Formats: sequence, C-alpha cells, structure tokens
Amino acid sequence: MAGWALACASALGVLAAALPPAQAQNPAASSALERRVKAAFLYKFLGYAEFPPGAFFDGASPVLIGVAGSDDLAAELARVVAGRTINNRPVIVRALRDADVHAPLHLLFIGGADPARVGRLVRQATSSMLVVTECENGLQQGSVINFRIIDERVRFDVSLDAAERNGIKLSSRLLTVANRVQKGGQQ
Amino acid sequence: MSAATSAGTSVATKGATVRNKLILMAVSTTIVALLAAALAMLVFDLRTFQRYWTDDLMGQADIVARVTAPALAFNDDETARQNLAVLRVRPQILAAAIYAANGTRFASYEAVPGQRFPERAQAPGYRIDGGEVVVFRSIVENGDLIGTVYLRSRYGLWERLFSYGAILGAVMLGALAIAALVASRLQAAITRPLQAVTNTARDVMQQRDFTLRVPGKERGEIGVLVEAFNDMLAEIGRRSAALQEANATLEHEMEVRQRAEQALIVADRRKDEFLATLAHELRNPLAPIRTGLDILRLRSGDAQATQRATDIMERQLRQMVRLVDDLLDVSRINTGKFAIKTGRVELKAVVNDALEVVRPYIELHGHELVIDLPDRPVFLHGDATRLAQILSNLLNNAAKYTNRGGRVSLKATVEDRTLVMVVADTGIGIAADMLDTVFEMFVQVDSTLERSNAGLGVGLSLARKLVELHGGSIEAHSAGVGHGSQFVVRLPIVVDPELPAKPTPAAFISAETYRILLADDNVDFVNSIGALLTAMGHSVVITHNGPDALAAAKRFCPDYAFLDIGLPKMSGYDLARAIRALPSGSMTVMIAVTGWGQEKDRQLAFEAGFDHHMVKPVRFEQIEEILGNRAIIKKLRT
Repeated sequence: MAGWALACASALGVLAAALPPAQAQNPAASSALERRVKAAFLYKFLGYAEFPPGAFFDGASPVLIGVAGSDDLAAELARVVAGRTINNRPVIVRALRDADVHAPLHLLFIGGADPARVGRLVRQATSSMLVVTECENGLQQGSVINFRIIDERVRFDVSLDAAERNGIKLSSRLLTVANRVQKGGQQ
Repeated sequence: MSAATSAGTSVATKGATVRNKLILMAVSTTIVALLAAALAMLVFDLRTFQRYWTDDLMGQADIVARVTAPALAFNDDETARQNLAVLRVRPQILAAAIYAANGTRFASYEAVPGQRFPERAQAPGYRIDGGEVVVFRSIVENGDLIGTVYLRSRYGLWERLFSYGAILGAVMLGALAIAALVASRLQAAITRPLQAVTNTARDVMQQRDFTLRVPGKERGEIGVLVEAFNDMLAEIGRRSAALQEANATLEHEMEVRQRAEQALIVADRRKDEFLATLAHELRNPLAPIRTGLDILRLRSGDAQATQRATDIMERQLRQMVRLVDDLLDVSRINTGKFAIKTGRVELKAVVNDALEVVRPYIELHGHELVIDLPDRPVFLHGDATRLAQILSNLLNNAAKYTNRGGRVSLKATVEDRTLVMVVADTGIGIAADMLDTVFEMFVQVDSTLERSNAGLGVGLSLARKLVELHGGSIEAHSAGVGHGSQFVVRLPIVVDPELPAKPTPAAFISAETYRILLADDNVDFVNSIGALLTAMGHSVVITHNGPDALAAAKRFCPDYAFLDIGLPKMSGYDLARAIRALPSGSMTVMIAVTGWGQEKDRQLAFEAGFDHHMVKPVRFEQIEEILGNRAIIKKLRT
C-alpha cells in the first residue's frame, strides 16, 4: 500500500508541477495545458462520484471512461490513469467516435463546443453515466459536469438534477469547488 | 516539674508554644503532602495537556486536509482560502497554509496579519517551538499525496501552567486553612490537659494550696502525667503539712520554754526578795530576845523586870515559831507531803485557838478587835489546828498591815450550808491589780513598804492552800490603797451529826498519869515542859545529857521518853538504841525531838527505835496528843 502511494506521489508530481504554469499561459499557447488539466480533472471526478449498484459487474470490474471528440485528451487521460485505480478498480480509457457514445461507460467526456452536437450525444448516451462536457450551456444539454474557463482557469459547473437523473451521487466536497451548482428549476 | 519553680508567665508561654508547635507540625505535614501531590498532578496534567493539545491540533490539521483536499485537487485556491478561513473560530491557531504537492504554498490563513510562513512544506509531524506548536499534515486524496497542511498554533502550556498552578495554590491554601483549623481542634486533646496541669501548678505556687488537683480524666501518657502530677501534689501537701505541724510544735515548745524561763526569772527574783525578807524576819525577833536575855542576866533578882523580859521573849519566839511553821507547812504542801486530819470541828473552838495565838500581837499594835459569831454551834469538817491556822494567819496579816490603833474584825455568818468568815481591817488596803496575786507565794503587796511592815508573802499563800484542802474558797476585796481590805473565806458546813472519832485531848488530862523522861540540853525548854507535865499530874524526870538520861531510864522505867537528838556526850540515836536494849526498854514510847524535819532524819529516828518524831520547837499540844495515843502504840508494840 505504502509502495503504491509513493508511486502515485511520484507520478502525480509531474502533473502537479505542470499545473501552476497553466494559469499563466495565454489561451493560444495553452491548449495543450488545458487538455492536460481537464484530463486530470476527469480522473479526479471519479473519486467524488458514486455510481449506482448495477453499474459494475463485480468488485473487480474496471471503471470505463469514454472520451468522444477529443483524442488528444483521451491520450492524455490514458497516460494519467495508467497504473492507477479508483476504489481498487482499474481505469480504462477509450477514445470514442460520436457514434459509439451509447456504449456502456461510467464516465463520458464529450469534447467540442457545438451545443447541438453535444446535446445529441448526451441524449444518445445511456443513463447511469457521469456525462462531462465542455461547451457553452453544457448543463442545459443534459450533462452533469460542464468545464468552463474562468479567469484563464479550468473550472466546472455541476448539475445535481442531471446527476440524480443518471443515478449518480456526487460528493458534497466536489460541490464546494464547483463554479456553479445547478439544482431544481434553476436550469 | 522543675518548670514549676519558674514564674507563672513562662508556664503560660510554654503552653502556647506547645500548641503552636502542634499546629505548625500539622500544617507543615499538610504542606509537604500537598506539594508532592500538586507537583505530581501538575506534571501529569501538563503531559496530558500537551498530548491533548497536539492531538487537537493534529485533528484540526486532518479536518483542514480533508476539507481542502478538493480545492487543492481542483486547483481552487479561492475555495481553499475560504476553507482555511473557517479556522477563525479557533483563535489559538495563528496561521495555516496549504502547500501543493510540489511544496509551494497554495493558500494561507492568518489570524492576525503579518504571520511568517515556511517557504516549503516540511515532513509531516508536529514541533513545539517556544510558545507555539507547528503541525505539518499530508493531504492524501484517493491514495495520492496531493499536498500538505501547515498549522501554527499558540501553545497554551504556560497559561495552562499558571492557571492550573493558581488553582492548585488556592486549593492548597484552603487545605492549609482547614488543616490548621482541624489541627487547632485536635491539638486541644493534648494541650488542654497540659494547660490544666500548668494552670494547677501555677495556682499551687501562688496560693500555696496543695489540696488543688488537676481536674479531668485523661487516657494514655497524658493521663499518667496528670495522675503522677496529682500524686506528687498530694505527697508535697503531706510533707508540707507535716513540716508545718512540726514547726507549730516547735514554736509552741519555744513559747512554753520562754514562758517557763520568764516564770523562772520571776520566781528567782521573788526568791531573792524572799531570802532577804526571811533573813530580816528571822533576825527581827532576835534583838528583843537578846535584850530580854540581857535584862534577865543583869536583873535576875527583879521579879517584875524578869516577868516583862520573859513576856517579850516569849512573844517574839512565838512569832518566829509561827513563821518557821508556816514555811514548813508551805513546803510540805508544795511537795505533796501535807495531809490534813479531818474530823468534826466546832467553829468557836477554832476561833478561840486562833485568837489565843494572835490576840497578843493585835494588842501589841493597839488595834481594836471585834468578833461577831453565830449564836448556835456551827460544825465544820476538817483539821481544827489548820482551820485555826487559817484564821490566825488572816488576823495576823490584818494586824500587821494596819497602822497602829486600827480596827480588826472577824465576822462569821451561815449562808445555806456554807460558813462565810470575813476578816476585815482598816489598814493600807490592796491595789485592784494585786487582788488576785496576793495569794501567790512570796508576793508582797508593796515592796516599797518599810521593812518593819514587810512580810514573807507566805501567810496568805498558806491560808489559801489550807482553805482549798478543806474544800473551801478564799478571796480578797479592797476599796483601794488606804481603804482597808477584806478576806472572805467560805467553808462547807457539816449538818449530819458525826460519831466521835476519838476522844478530845482534854479528856486525857486527868484520866491517866505516866512516868515521863525528858532529855534536852536546852534547859529552859525542858524545864518549862517538865513543869507543865508535873502540873498535869505526871511523874517527870529531867536530864540534860545522854549518859544521865540512860541512867535515869534504867532506874525510872519511863512510859514516855522525849529525847533530843543533839544531846551532849551521846547522840539521841545511840541513847534510843541503849534504852531499847534495857529490860524495860521495849515498853517505853520514845519520841525524837530534833531541829531537822527532813524525811531522812525521820527515817534515821525510826531506825534507831523511836516511835515518834517531833520537830522543834515543840508545842505542848503535840506532847498531849502523843500521850493520848498510848493505848494504840502499846497495841502495835505487842
């Protein structure tokens, strides 16, 4: 366990060291950094989410992450989760085409800023899945978490209704760092 | 209890000291115990406090780590600051900070602006630095180390120490006060009996009263002490009482001795006076007697002158004989050898006997004599001779202490069964303070009186003793010096008739005649006696020395022989033995006539064969009495 923790620390050190410079970069040159931060966030979301009982086949079933419309992020995320687990479950990252979004997943990231496309994809996605988007009004399209860039920082909004609809419970600790939390009729 | 001899105040302070010592002991014991307990409690508390404090701070750090973990994970420094700001509710936390995994500071909080923060995160754990505690705590999220929490807090150890110490001090003070109170109550069990002992000791010393005791019943050593002290007091009291008793006895003895010494001095002085007076009194009659002798020698042919001379001489002689008789009687009474012959006696006979003696003396002084007696006969129980002696002494005294031409009276009355005789005179009287002492031996009314008036102080003394021997009383009265004096004698009267015990001497006068031998070298005396006896009808032979007497006895065979002891040529004792050796000697009643009346002279006479012993001068009545006892003596002889 201790050995594992040390390994994690060393692995994260790379990512953490990369974060502060991200704040200082200008938008044009910071695209790659943004991809990296979002990848790290996606992975971290899993730690604050609780999936419904039927989400996993058994105790050793992996946590499946699908990334649609952003292959570089998928690659980045794959690198982040390599050798890591969530609640002793291995994490598997798949880069998806838009047509494959209905596949059984635990977390689906839909990249791209086109709300129509995102909304379509959200609706295609199966329920009981944590849907994360990065477009304007992503939450209105039905996503649970929507990345935003505020003050040149990656932030996110949370829709508790969407989470509830999808049978996912989000930790209140996550909500404390959310930019906005939508709930009830605030949509 | 040597302290008992010191002053009372030191006893009191000593008691107070014992009290204070006891209280001090209790208090100091309590102090030591409390200090040890307080120190142990303090150390234990501080250790507990430190653990609690650090545990609490670590707990805070945990919470902070937990709460700020999402903010750190999602790089939200604003939220992290807000999270840290919650620490405001814990004012003891001075500063807090979150360090990212790369060691740089991510967010911070300070209770008061101007706090220092470490540049980089440090290893997890806590550190106590002066008055502050610094805690570093790792933030682990989902198994990943994502940062470090830094907390810096005030360390309240000293405050805690002070406040706890203050509480302990207050508790200790309270405990000491209670201990002192309890000790002062409990010490009474020891000091109260001690106090009682010291109080009693002080009282005893002040009041000198050894009957005091320490009150109360104590147990244990103090009880033993109290009991021993009481016993000691009792012992001291006993000894003190014995000492005082001995002292009193000694004082009394001393007093008695001093009184005796005083009395001896007085008696000695009186004896000296008496001797001087005696010499004078004895010498006084000698001068007239000598004068009479001169007259007789020079004018033996003149019958009238001879008669006058013999009268004078006889008077003087009688006076002298009286004096010596009184002296002898007093001496006999004083040595307890005097006894009166009691019998039925008629007052008139007694008065006549007395007057016969004193009348010439009273007439000589030219006094008027008045006699007043009851008409009917008054019978007394006593010795006729001695009763007459009492009266003659009193009358003689009255005549003596009354100036020439005075009046002397004798008045006798009967009161109930008592005869009261009053001898009064118109003489010099007696001072009031002398009334009681005139009856004492050798006491004279006034030593300043002329020699001719001075007496021996014997007559009254003898009179009183004789009266007392007869069961009566005598007292002196006087209106003062120069107003005459009265002597009142009271004697019991015999009412019942008494059988005649013996025939009166008068019955013998003509009843029987005897052959009587007289032997004495005093020719006058022996001739006069011889003449008297011859006149009574007896046959009398007179001799003047021993051999003549023996020869007369041989030839005469006397019934009585009156022999002088101091005869020439042959002593009276030898003569008596020689007469007893004669054939008819055993029938002769022999009477020794001597100038010595001592008991040993009497004894010598009886050893030599005498039947009687007479002391010179011999009165004729004595001879008559002896002649009257002839029958009795004969009976004894055979």
